[in-house]
Amino acid sequence: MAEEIAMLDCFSGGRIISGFVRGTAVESLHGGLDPSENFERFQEAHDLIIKCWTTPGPFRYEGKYYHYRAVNPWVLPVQKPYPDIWFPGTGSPESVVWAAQHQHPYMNLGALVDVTEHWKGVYIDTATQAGFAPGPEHFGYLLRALVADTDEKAIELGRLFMWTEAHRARGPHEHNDPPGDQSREVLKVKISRPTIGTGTVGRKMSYDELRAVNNIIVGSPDTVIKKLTEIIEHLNPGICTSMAMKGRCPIRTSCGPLSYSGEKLSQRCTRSSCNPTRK
Amino acid sequence: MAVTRDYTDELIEVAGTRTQVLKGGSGAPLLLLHGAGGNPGWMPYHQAFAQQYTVYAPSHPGYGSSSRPDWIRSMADMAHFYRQFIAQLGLAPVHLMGFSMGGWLAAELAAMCPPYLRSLTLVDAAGLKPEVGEIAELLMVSPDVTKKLRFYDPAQVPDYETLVNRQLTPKEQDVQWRNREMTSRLCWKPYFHNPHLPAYLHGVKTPALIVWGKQDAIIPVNCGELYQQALANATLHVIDRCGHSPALEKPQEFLTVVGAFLAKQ
Repeated sequence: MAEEIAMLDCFSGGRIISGFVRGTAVESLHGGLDPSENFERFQEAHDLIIKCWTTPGPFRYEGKYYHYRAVNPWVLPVQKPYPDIWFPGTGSPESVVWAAQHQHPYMNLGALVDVTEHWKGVYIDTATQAGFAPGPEHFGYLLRALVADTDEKAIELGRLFMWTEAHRARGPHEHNDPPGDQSREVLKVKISRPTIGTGTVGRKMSYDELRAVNNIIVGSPDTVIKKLTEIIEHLNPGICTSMAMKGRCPIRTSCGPLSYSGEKLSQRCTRSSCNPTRK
Repeated sequence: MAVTRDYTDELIEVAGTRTQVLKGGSGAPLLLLHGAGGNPGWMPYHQAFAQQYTVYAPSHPGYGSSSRPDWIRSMADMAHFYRQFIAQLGLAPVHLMGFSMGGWLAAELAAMCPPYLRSLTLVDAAGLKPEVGEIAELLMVSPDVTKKLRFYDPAQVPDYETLVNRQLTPKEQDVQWRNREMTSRLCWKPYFHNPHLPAYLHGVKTPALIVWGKQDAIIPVNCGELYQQALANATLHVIDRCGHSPALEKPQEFLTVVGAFLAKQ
């Protein structure tokens, strides 16, 4: 993986942003791995990849999970010391703290606004304790936003965002949240809060409820601009990304909203002012 | 330390690990190793054995109130912990009895330090890969599924509602969750068995009794047969119309056959 990302960085002339994702229990299971090892394995893999990018080989690596007698990457990234690493999460406190301790930008994947605010505060506090002042580039927010010609059309199309409402993946729901994949404390937090239509624990919020709290933003360009501005000015993310379509949407139907999102929306969004380091 | 009429519930330090130990009775030491679900507490069969023996029923590291040391990641690691447990408490030679996953642990200990054991009792023990059937999925299913697999007929389990089927308190649910995490750590891959264990057990002459529910839907009775083949001095007793937990489902027959075996050693 270290070599492949480095290759992409070379191809792109040093423009790769490397997203490091913990993965879900299902992915651990399909890899034949004990889900309770997920976070520790992730952390060790992170350390090993960074070492591959920064330490001339050959070197030996003997960790808890990865044992290599000779590590000798044949390609290094253009960016020095290494490409930016973005770390996405949905609300695990350990993950937010870890990201802040390693000064990696934390990308919250569309949690409810109040939850996201809380995690941003945790990130800033942890960063302060770790001795660095986070900048705009350290906090991002992904949200589901769809634009169509009219509010009514967008609301109808936007129902496709809920396509994983009934199930998060194929197979038994125990495959999604087995013991150990997340800590018991994280699970208790998630059980106590409503979910955004993608989880298997906690009270599921309906599509209309999610729209009402701007967790899913759908509408005409004017509607979406207004709601996006509210969210951005409230959360102050330095990086804001949107998921413009999900589920089984025919490509011809999705093109309209995507072109709205891609071109016209971005032009109209630049007028918002942000202060990402403010809690 | 909590003291009741029958037993004590203590936390002791073993190999740097805070270990919960239920203890009761008097006589030669009998060490009971619980299964993947955790320490069941002081059950009727503990009380029965306590009439003749000093019964030790610890919660393995990572289970119950015992702490979870980072170095215990496999059944062999757990066996090394118990080797130190037996030595520290001066129990050798000890009557060792293991249930389900605890049976696997007991077998590993028997292979590791035969002189520490006076006898070995394996009850529907994990640890060997069956040649007929397979070990049921326990880690990726809900506890309710596991409960249904456990017994041949819950109606014949004395005090089933109070001992097995009662609603757990939130604290007990937390403990159950933690227990399942530790079981994942120990039993994930290879799944609930050690492919090398038959070789380890070769030549182990410790007197052994293997007890199995014939209709065990979690660990097939074939594993009992394989244990009998692997151990040099073992007897297999199969209980008909019985599932994975004969000590609960057929207590009279279980206590009779195990009691007779222990008395001879």
